[in-house]
Amino acid sequence: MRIELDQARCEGHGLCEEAAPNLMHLDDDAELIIDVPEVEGDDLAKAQAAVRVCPVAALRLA
Amino acid sequence: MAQHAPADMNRIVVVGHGIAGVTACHALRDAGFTGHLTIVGDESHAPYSRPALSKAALVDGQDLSAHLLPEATHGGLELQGVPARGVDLFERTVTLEDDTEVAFDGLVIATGADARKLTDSAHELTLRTMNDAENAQSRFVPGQVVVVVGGGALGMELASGAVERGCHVSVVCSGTPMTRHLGEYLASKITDVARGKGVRFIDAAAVSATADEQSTVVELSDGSQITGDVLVTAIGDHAHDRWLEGSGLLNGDRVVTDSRGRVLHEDGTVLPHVVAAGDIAHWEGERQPLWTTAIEHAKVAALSLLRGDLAEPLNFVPYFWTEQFGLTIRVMGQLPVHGTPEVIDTGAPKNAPEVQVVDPHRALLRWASDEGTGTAVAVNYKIPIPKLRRLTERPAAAA
Repeated sequence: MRIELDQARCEGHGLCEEAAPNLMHLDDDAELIIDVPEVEGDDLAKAQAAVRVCPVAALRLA
Repeated sequence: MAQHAPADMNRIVVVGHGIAGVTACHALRDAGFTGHLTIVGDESHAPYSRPALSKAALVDGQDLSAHLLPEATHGGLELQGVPARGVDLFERTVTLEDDTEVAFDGLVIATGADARKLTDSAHELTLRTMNDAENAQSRFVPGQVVVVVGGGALGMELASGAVERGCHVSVVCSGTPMTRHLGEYLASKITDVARGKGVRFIDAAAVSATADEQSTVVELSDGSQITGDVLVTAIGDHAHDRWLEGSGLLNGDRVVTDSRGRVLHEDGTVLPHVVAAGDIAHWEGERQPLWTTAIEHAKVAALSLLRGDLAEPLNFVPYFWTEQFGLTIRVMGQLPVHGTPEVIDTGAPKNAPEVQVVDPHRALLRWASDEGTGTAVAVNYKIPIPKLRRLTERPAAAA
């Protein structure tokens, strides 16, 4: 599955990075960068955790 | 005596399907629990993100279903739209409002909290649920006079949303709003900006009120009245724990847990097979109704059901944020903060140094505590959580 980011909605809280640090990170300006957009297996579970933890629902799996 | 995890943990029931309940389900699966999992929730909506309801979702009037949480992957049985009515600790069953009995070896209590209300009128708006947010969206129309009772974060976010949507807004609160929660420095910053946007603050307590579909009257502690079109109250919440009366799970009328989320029976013993998480839980005696706290509670509580004392106790720095009147305030650490902060940075964003329009509110602040740690606050300042967290750990600057 693919991690999709709604950039306009993202507020840079960074809870997703804490849930899945190998898949995404906030850069120095707190803009979210998806490092691994296509996920499966263990990464998929981590991506789901990251999507869930977002307080502004800016992440989706499609 | 060490508390071991119950050996026969084959059926776990999670009551409550907010973020605490949902997180608990996934944490159980992540930790290797392969038994029967049932999640019970009283709302008919699928689980959704709550913080947005009083913030962006309120202002831009977007379709609230966009804030649904991703589809659950824990594979548990979801019983939605039916509240739980009671727990029998001897039979180890949860009884639902429709008389269904669900047996458990392990129980997660995560039923959250309800808004306190000033009246019993259905036209008094509060904000806890998606239905509440839909009501607020439909009542906040341009030109309406909105009276907000309560000057905490939720009341002020609702006031801000109403202003953004073109309403005339008064906030009724004893003293300066946000002071009790954030401290004097940040409270005066927020209220100054809010006044500039036309919000009227009424320094009084609301004694009582009436509200119908087109008007409201609020009686104040000084004997005066304030009238308007819409009544909104944000006067705190109370744990949704009445369904546990008589179960033995209330301790001094509250759900109290140890440092691993295990519930203290009314006789004072720690129950290894019943945990609580989120807004309902007085974790080590203290309730902290915040989004990230609910998530951290749920992770710890799930593990302690499976592993007993081998699970790590809760250990994290609270994170809180609010968005109101054009200010986004993020806080890592303990609140409220008193006195004047150290200003760490007010600079322009690195990715746009050419931007000359300076936001006068933009700042990265830090309040040192006596223990050498501190509370870090970002006002209109984008900063990743790990960085904000590091600022709380930094020893206080040498005097």
